[in-house]
Amino acid sequence: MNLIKNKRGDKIISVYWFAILIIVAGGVFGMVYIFYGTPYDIREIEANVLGNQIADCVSYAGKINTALISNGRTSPKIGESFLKMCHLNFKSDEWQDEQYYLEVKIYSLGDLNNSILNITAGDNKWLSSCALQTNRQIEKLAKCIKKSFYSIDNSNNQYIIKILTVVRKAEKNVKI
Amino acid sequence: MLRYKKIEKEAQIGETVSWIIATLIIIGILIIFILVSSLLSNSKIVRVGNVETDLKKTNLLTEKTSFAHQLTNYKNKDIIENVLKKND
Repeated sequence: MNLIKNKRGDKIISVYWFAILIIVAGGVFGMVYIFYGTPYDIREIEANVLGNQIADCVSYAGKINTALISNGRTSPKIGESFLKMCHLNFKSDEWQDEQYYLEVKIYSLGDLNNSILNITAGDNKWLSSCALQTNRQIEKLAKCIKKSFYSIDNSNNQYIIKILTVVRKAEKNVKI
Repeated sequence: MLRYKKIEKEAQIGETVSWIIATLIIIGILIIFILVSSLLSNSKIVRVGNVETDLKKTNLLTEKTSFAHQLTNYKNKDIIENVLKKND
């Protein structure tokens, strides 16, 4: 009689061990899934790299690109060919919509309220993300980076250049 | 005989309670680890300040600005620096 009781106890214990094994395995799976299921968000770096590329294109060694401003005169048609001039291509097979937006504003030092040259490229619908993130970063929205620097043209006229770069690509950088 | 049965029952209860506590500890530890992995996954945002890149080592825009200052013999330097600070 006692032997039958002991056998039943052993069965219960082995079922318990299986249950614990499943719980632990499930826990390990959960941990790995949570950690490796979240992608690395590199959009901030990407927006910085894009900003630097644009800055290099707009001004080199302290002087503004003569294709943009020469002797104080701005080039009127630069907007269309800016991307080509800066060796940038925003179109990708991976995305239906363009995932980037850029804005370059050049101000004369005498008038910092009105830009003398305004260049935009990419999809401007991502621009609204920047306004929403002035106080707090929201991961699922596009990343915006603002940069500004000083440069002169070939006639030594002084300019302040402001660059805004926006990178969306939320699906590849954030767990949605 | 009765006393022996009572002792056996108490032993069984003691063993069951220790198994239940062991189970709760295992589940508790698992929950802690899952929470830690969740916190670690939230820190997978690569920022310029956190990574040793060329972006951090040299500030390209500061270089450009100082080149321009040298070319104009630092004309209006204070005004320009103030404007750039405001923009940052």
